[in-house]
Amino acid sequence: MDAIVQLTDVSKVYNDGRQFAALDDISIALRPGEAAAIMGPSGSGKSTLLNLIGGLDRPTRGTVTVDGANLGRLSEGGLARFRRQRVGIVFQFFNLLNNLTALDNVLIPAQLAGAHGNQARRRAEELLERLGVAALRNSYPARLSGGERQRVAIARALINNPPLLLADEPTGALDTHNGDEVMAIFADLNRSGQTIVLVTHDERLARANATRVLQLVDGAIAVDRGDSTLGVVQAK
Amino acid sequence: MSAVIRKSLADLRRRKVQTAVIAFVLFLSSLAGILALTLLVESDAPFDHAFAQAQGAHLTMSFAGSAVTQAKVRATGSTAGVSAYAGPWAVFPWAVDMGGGRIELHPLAGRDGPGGSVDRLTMIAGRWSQKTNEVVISRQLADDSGLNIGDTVAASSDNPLPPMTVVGIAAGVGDDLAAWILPAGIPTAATDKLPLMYQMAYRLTHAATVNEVTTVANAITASLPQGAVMDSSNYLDLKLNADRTTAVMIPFLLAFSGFAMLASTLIIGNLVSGAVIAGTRDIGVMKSVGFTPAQVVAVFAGQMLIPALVGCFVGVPVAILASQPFLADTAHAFNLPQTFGVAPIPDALAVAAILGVVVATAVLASLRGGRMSAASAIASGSAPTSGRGYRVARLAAAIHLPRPLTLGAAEAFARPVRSAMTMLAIVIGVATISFSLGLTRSLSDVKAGITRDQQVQVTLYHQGWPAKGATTATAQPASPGPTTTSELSDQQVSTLIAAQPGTTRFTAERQDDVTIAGVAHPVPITAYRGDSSWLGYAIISGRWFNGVGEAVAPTAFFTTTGHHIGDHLSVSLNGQNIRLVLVGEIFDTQGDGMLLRTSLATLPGNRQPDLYEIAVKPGTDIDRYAAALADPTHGLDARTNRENGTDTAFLLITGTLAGLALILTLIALAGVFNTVILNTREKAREIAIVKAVGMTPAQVVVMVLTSVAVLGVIAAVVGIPAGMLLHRYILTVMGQIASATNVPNQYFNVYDPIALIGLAAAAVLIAMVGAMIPAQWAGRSGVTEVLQTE
Repeated sequence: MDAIVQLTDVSKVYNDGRQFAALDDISIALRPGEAAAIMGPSGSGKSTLLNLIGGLDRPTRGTVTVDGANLGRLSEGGLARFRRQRVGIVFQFFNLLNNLTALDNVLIPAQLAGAHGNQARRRAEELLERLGVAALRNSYPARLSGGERQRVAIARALINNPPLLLADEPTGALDTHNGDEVMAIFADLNRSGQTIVLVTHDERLARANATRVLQLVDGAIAVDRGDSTLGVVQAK
Repeated sequence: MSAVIRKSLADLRRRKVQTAVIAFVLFLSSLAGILALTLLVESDAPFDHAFAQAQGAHLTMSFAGSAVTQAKVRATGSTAGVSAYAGPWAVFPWAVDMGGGRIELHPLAGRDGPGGSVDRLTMIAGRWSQKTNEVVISRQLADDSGLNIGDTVAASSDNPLPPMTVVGIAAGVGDDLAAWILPAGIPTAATDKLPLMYQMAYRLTHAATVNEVTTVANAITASLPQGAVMDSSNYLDLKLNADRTTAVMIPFLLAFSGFAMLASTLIIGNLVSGAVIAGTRDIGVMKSVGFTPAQVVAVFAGQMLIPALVGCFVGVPVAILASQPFLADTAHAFNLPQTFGVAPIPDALAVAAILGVVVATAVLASLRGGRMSAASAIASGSAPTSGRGYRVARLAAAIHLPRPLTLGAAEAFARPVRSAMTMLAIVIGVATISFSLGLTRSLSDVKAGITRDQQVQVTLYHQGWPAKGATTATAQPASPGPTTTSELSDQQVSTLIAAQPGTTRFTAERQDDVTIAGVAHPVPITAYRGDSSWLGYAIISGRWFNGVGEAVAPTAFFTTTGHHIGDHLSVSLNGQNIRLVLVGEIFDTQGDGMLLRTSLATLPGNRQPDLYEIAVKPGTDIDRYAAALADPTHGLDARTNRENGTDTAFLLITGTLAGLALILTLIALAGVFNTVILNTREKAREIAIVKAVGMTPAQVVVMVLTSVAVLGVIAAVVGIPAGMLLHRYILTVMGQIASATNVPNQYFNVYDPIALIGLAAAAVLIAMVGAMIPAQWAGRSGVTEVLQTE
């Protein structure tokens, strides 16, 4: 089976006075349907890796291919369309727009993609229902708990049926109970075939829910554990 | 260096865009303010400076060479009340071939040089005449004829003057002489057709009022034989005429200055409050390390004041320099030598006022930050921005339009106060443009109404020597001047005009003076033969006369005499009473507006016309047409109906309008730019979020532009009517100042649907152009940097 995510010899170097390699010549291939957890200590390059896969950032070297799209060949507009249609991103701090209701927040990616109004609305309401926050559809983020906000953020990430769901520390701002519930949602989504890449520092959650675990240390993959048949190409 | 200054300078370095915007806005507002102020204060300076520099004549008189000797004229210099004099200068009619066969008579004076104790001339170019075949021409003749230094001017065949080479161009204060040669060059053999006259220029001991000048003129007249004095003019009339153009500019200059200051205040207010909001965390940190509330306020005031000083420092000299062409144009329009105009004390006060506004706005806006506790400032400055405009955002979300448009529309109301201030800046910009467009169009109509060049292209003077540059019948000198004996009757002249190829229609007319009970001075009455309604006098109210005994008059006549339309009045012409009924108020700026127009049949006796206003067919070469009609030997002088300073004055006003409108538009653009910078920086997180979930950079640009386009639309709805109202008010005031006249309604109705659509588009365009650069910055902004710094 073709990889849905393929990173080849990817490096990301930041240069703000002194050079710092957040990712150092890594290569990864993830297959459709996997739930990959990227783990590692602070500064190991987890979020940078997720940003590269999500088209939020560009590598200094190497190629990133996601769902058949070579991200290096896409313009900024092309990357935005890629993020809109091929991936859904869930952030640690939810990143909902405070002046929009839960439903309007969920609808944004669909509306940006030019989706038909009623159809998108039905889909958004279904997602909110599925994630257990349908009753809060007209509430503003400030009135929601952390767990509720994250469910709304997950609904937003899924509104355009992306083949890949990315999550950056999705439980990092939640208490244990809410964190467990959110991880359960991810597990459930994965069971229904959704490919997921999540960054987490919580090994317990990763072990319980991920089908594959990638451990980053100093910008390189130190451990690749899981049942992937594609496996790790290289850990430097 | 104190901590306050150090912190202010550090913030200035950190907020380069904000600093640049403040400096730019203050540059523009000081430019507009000082430009307007210099023009205001110096509005009468071109005349006053030139008059003082040239030792201008308080009184200028012309004498008939056939009635008085040069020695007797010179003796008038010792008349009581005369403190100094120059002349007498012999003046001879110089028949100049203006090209295309057109001959014009110009007064040529014999003068030793440009200097003297009275009425010194300023050499604009070249040098003074050194031989009798060298001529120095006036700037007005140079402008009118296109003659330049080195050109040779041939007189007409029946003129005794030899061909002369132009060696200089000179300007005198209100001088009506067209050219000067050495006195030896003036022919002594004058004839009835080419009479010699003398001119004297007097400085008077007391010349503050027309009465004081008239008293001396009367004394001079009384000392000479009957008929010796041909004409006299005083400097007060010249000054009035020279000041009029700048005087009419005062109302809109004041309006523009006020607008510029208001717009700048709004923008500075936005800038400072935005800086306070953005710097809330900084305020907390400053206070936690020991800054007092006053020092916090001082830091923000310093951030505004330093670039404001830079802006003013550049703006003031640029404004003074920029005002010089306007002042020079004023001087040129009235044939005055150019002087450098600057008003240091008012300028300094204006700069102090501008900086005072900056400091006051900065202090008021930063007081809240200064009063905030250190802990709450750090806390609120570190927290993500809270959502704003919930209700509008929800309404916008329900609109079935592309999401970037609805998100942008909602954003327009997220910060109502800031949006309102920005919108006001755009309102000022669009109101200014609306006003300027309207006034320019109205002034174009007014100009057409004054010159009537659409209706009358050629004026034929019969029997007489028309005033230099005269364009209409009533512009003839009060004293008709040396006349020739015409061999042509009115019937013959009429036949001549009718037979001239290119003639469409013409009206014969004559002017007399009538006396009216209660009116101190004689009132000119122009009487027309046949249909004269086509001559182009715009009707303010009532109608044009169409029967015997009916008359029309300008506004000033009604105002001065207290008459109204429909009133009957008696006037006396050479002792004969005439009953008139006033049927119309017309737009007529000639003289002081004290005149009447009626039909020739209204006047008693068989009075012959002496002037013919002619409309020629489209496509006719007017110069050739006039040349064909002109016949000096039969007392016929044809003049084309061209401007004589009117165009320059209108160009001056419209140029000033355009310049100030441009400045205010730039201020509005800067205001929008500033607001969008503040908004996009405050909304960096929201923009990053929508980009993360798929908004393209182009969609971000659309979203940001929409947020200001909404303000532009509202500004158009408010600003265009405001500009139109201002236009109506200022045009009315200008009419009163310039000629004490009301303005015909048709001159107000200059806003057609296309213009209104264009103005609305301009409002949206100001908003969008001002927002374009920060919108593109927002479109290109990074996502990860913003979202990962939380």
